[in-house]
Amino acid sequence: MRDSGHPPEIDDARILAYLDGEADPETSIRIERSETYRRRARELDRLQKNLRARLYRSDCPDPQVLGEYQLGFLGTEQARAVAAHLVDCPHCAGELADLRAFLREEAIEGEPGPAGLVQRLVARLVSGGPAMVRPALGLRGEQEETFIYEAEGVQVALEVQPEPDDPERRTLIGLITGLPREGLQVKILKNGEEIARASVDELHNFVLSGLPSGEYEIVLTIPELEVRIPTFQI
Amino acid sequence: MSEIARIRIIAYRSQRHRKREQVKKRKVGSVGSTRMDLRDLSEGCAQESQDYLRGQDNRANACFELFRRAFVERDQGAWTKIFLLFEPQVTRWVTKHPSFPHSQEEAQYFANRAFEKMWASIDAAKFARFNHISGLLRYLKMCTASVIIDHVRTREKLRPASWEDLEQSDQPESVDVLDHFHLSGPGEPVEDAVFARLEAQELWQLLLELVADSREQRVLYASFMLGLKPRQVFEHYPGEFDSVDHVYRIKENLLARLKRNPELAGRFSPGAGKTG
Repeated sequence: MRDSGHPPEIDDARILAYLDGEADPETSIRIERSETYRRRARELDRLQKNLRARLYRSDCPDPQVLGEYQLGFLGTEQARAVAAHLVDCPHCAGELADLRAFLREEAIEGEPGPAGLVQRLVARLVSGGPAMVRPALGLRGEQEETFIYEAEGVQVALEVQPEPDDPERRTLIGLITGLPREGLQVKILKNGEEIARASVDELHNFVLSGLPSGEYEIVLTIPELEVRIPTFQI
Repeated sequence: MSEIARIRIIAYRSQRHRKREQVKKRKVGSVGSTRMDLRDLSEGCAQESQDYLRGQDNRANACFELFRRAFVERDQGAWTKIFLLFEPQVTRWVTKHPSFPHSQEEAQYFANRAFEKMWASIDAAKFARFNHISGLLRYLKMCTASVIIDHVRTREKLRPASWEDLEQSDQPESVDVLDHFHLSGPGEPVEDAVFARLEAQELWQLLLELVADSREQRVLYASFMLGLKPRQVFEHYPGEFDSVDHVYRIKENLLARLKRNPELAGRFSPGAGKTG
């Protein structure tokens, strides 16, 4: 049977679109009615399947590697390679998102957060009275009180002192035991925002000056551990 | 100076307290010079894990010691106790994983594999990076997800996405969905053998030699490594292609070149042997 209008030849691009379900109805009908086009479609389909069967996700990191990436167990080079792959691969990016959500479910106190192998502890007050109801200190001559917090063998002793030059501001003095000094940081947060940070000296003391009175969160961090004092009144 | 003195006093108190805590901790794993036996450790861990999972206790020292013996001392008995203690929890994790309902496998199967995975993945050196039971349980949970995802990937590999479309469509000339399992057909066993020898990486290197430019390489990678259709390729790399049709054109040229390549033609096209 001859086509009177001689419609243009269907090229492989349109046959590929047909295989993907993207071809317009007219093209689809022409392909389906022509033995030649059907044969070309079969060949292209087979070629694509062969390629996909051999290559599909062959460069994706193993799910365990992806998991160790999430938990911060990979070395720098490997982690960098995984991160680069994640930019390109929607499958791995999706799996990682699912893994993060899965790990977040049933989060329990003390379980590390999704950012990596970071154990998060909340320190409890063991000496010095409940910080929540503690009145602001700082009157000159008043005896400063020491507050001791504890979490998993980590102890934090805190004292607040008035600043001699500015009665509106306070100095927080602390001593931390039970954590290595190297990499240890003390952060002071106000409404979730970091407002000051300090390292500890060789005696494991830290000093943060110029703090306005108020309620703060104190966070101690080393690479694998975070100890929080959710509320401390300065 | 008086402040420092006072702080030092606090330090002394703190260190004394810490030493007491450390002694307490040591007693979890040993009494005097006698090691706590696995049964006692397991019972301690059972109680701790109940408290821990309820958020009532955050220490779980007996559990940690049990894990330590398993991974550092490679103590199979300790590992068996861990399996017995935590298998119900792992099974619960399995059933809550979003891919589990489609896996067509028993929860127990994945739980067993998760434990196997963790056992194979953690040695003494890696164990040193854990300092708390929470990290170990988190790792175990990750292993649980890992074995399920692995299973899903294997199924996907056996059944690429496009096959679903082909099955669902009414296209009369759609290729049989099982073609992949007998690529060469009865009379062409060589093709399959060649494919089998050509590991994916080697094949990829071969294909890279045939691409004309970076766009073709992108289409090759996205189409076959990532399994994306041209419309998805166009959306996945915004600004790199003019249109979906543009991606189809590039793919057309690429596949035509692959078909013409003497090294690949005989292997990729089942009809090539017959026509040649």
